[in-house]
Amino acid sequence: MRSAYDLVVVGGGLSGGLPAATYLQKSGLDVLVLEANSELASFCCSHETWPQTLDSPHVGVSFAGNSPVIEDLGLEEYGFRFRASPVILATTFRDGTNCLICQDPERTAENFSRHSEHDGERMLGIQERVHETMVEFNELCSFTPHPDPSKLDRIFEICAYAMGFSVAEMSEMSGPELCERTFESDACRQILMTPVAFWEHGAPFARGQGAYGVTFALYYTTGIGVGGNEVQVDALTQCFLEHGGTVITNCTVDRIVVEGGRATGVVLGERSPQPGAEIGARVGVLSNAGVPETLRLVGEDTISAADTRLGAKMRHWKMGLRGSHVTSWLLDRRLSWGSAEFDPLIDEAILVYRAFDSWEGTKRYMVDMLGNDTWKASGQLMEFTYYAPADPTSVSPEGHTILRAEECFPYPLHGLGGPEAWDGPLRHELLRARNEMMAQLVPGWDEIVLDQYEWTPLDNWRLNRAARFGQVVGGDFSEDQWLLDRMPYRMPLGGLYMSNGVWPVGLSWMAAGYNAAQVIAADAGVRDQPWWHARPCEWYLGNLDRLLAPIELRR
Amino acid sequence: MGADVYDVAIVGAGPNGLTAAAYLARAGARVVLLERRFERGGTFATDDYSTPFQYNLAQFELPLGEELRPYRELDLRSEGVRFVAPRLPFACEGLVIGRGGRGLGDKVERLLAEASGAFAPLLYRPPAHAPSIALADVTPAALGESVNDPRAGVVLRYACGLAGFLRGDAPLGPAGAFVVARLFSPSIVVGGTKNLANGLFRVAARAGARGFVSAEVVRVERAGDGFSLRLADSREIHARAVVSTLDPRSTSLGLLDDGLAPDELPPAAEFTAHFGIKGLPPEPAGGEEGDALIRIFGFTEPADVERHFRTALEGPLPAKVAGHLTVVTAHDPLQASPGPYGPLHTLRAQTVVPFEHPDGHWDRLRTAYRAECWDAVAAHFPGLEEARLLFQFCDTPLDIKRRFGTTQRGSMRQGALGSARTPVPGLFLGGGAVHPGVPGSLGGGYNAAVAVAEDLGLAL
Repeated sequence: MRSAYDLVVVGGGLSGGLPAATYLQKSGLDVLVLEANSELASFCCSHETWPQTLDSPHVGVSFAGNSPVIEDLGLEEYGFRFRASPVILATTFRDGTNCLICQDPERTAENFSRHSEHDGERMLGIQERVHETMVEFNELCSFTPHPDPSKLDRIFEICAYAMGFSVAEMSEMSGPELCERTFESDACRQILMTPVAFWEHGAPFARGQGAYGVTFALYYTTGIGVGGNEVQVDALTQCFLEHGGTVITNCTVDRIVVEGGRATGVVLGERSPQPGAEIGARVGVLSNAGVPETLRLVGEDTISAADTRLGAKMRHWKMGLRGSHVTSWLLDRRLSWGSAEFDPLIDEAILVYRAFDSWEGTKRYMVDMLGNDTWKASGQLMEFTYYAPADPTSVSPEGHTILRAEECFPYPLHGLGGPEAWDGPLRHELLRARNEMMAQLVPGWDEIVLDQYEWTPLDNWRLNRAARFGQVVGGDFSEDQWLLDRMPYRMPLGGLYMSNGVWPVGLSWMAAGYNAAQVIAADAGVRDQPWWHARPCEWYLGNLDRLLAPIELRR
Repeated sequence: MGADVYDVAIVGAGPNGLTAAAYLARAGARVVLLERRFERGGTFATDDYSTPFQYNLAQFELPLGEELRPYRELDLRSEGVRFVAPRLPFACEGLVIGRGGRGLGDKVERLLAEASGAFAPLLYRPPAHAPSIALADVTPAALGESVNDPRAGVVLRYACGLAGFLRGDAPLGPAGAFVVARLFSPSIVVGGTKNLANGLFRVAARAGARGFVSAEVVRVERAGDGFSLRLADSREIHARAVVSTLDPRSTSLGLLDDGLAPDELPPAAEFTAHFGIKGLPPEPAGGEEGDALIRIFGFTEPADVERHFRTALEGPLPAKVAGHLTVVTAHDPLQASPGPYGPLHTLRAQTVVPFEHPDGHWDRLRTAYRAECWDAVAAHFPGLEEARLLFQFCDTPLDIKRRFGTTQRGSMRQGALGSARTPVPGLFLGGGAVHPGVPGSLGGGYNAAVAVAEDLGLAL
């Protein structure tokens, strides 16, 4: 570690810090990444929790397919391999049916038609229009530094076009209303609502925001990194290092130094190689530490002196609504869902939801979640990620596989003992309930499970200090924090930038890091690079045949 | 993608593969590192399983710290790699042992110091005749009986077991004597052993080395004046030279005779349980035991250790769980999250068990035995029953063998100690199976890099 760099990045996370650092290092800046944990991007990790099986407990699927980063940084040359499933997302129901959104719109329509011919036809048109507008939508909505109100009208136009309504109609609809006016069957309504209900992608019941939130969810691609999503971290790290970047792990930061209205460096913390040492930053400091941590690092007074409203907004930044309770199970075989008889393609899916038992149940769940009712919400909506269909290296030679399930719950546990109750019997009780539900979704469940573990929103926060209250996407992104009222990339102090809490949310698509890099590169006068020109989704769409080709292992 | 051509392909991104990659890439070679697992690091694996705790799956302590030659030469300090040196390596029933074996008596301390000092110069050079080392001629059983205090005898006999000597009747040999001696002067990598692997990898990557994971090499063949490496997923990689860090049998891959097969290893090995707890670590009243790294429990005299090992070697499960407990975070707080809602501590318990479970398959019985391990440590270390057990993971000997293919039958020790060179020009061995065969010394990788550099005309 030297005494000064061009840019100091606080937090080497996958969505923000690491890709931003890599773009800027490749653009010629001298960049230092400081990571508090032992590993970079420890939230996007591959674990061999049980021998020769792959566990990727947080980032179960990857949204990297949306990202221009893969092409700009040539991540495939650094060992990044990516595979998609023929099924983008699936829901499985207790009544033995399922609903699938597939890569091929005709195949989606075939599945939807089993529920309703009308819904099949309707979905065919929607999916074709989504594909048609994929690049433009992602470019306008996610891979551009927001807030940018000038782009909003076009984003709404694209969404309305895709769903087959007018902008005026869309702006009047809640999420559930859009589903009801689009589809007639419960199953098809539910799959549209499921990712939104799970992620609270916009406030589902808010007029306009709810309908647009449902539509946004159709613009994600899904896939996995072969060998686990850490290959994405690996490739970025190799690219960053090869261009001369510096990484120091196990290194906390105590303070971001501000002098004369400018961020000029950082002071290292107690859990670092040189506690108290000051590292200079000639161009600036990028904080990927999240809003509350950044406020603490810079100092509330300093931020408020520069921008009173921003200081207040950061102080009251909403972080606490939901957190994840996750299980990984070791299975003694490849999984087959109970609904595979209805449509066997579900067994090829890498992203599956246990959705509700009825459309009314869907709405009731969302109300229960708003009411912070943990037990009522339990067992209703689960997200499963499963590597085996797309990555044979994740399966042990004995055929053991790992299934991961995630449920979202209110973090504070009102009425159940408060946040610390996450360390008590509750964590095991929720797992027991989850296993009971699994027995209804997967035949022979109890026989095939060899081991399991679960972790809570509190463990989340302990693992990832930017994920306060277990919230991993940089604060809630609904209602008042939706789209236009996220944090700025460029802070009101010269040389200070943020890449966590900004729009869009922190995901493996690396949009926040990409956007932070754009802003910093423009300020530093290094944006004009011959290799920096990729558009979102183009790499994915252009290579889809290759990305869908199965990997065969000959050991 | 077409076939890629490199100067050197290194099979296995464990400690030695990473060391060889760092030296060779720095010297200007175009290097590719091929790793079968999902992560680099091999036996330097530290996993958090995405919990707030760090678990070292294989090596949690190293025989050398800042004295490691690659640490100095590759300036790993600048990569943020740091060590701590636990003040008290062992404790047993109230007896605490200081660094270098202080507390075991002058005679034993001298034996350990001599073994350590005489073998160290041999680590980073081709195999050479070791000078006479008194400890090399001692058997584990005799070492355990050589001291008056039975607890000191337990410590010595148990240390031999940790070094891979479960049988008590064969002499330690020079490398074995060194490994045993260094257990009394251990080093821990801050943040977990993987951090040393990551530091080595950063040096290699900065110099342009490429590292691929989930890249299992299934065949190495001669191709032109180099080699073609075929991966399990049909990818093909070409290189002028190949360094294999696998054991000699796996490395033959059709190129070498099976004459190089490793010596036979015992049918028993460690069962390792990892516990993430909330609460204070156990601190017995009085004494300094709480500060010791390896806290042996369940044995009162060296014959107990001998009996436990022998039972496991013969097939049955030993009658009770006896072994050691390490509170990793008491030595390196960075191996658990600081909170919120702490304190959080990472515990590691080890006991020797048969490779095959006598009553069924370890895969179905591992969780029950893990629970037995917890009950045993909680019963032995007062205060632990108060702690809240948040996470528990474990590895049976079978699991260790599956994770780290080069560790035959769950033992970290491979035995055969050959040279980095093989009868096939351009094919080198660089793993734990070649000289010096001291896990964690990085000597195998270093010596392979020296040999490759000579052949490719590179200056290290």
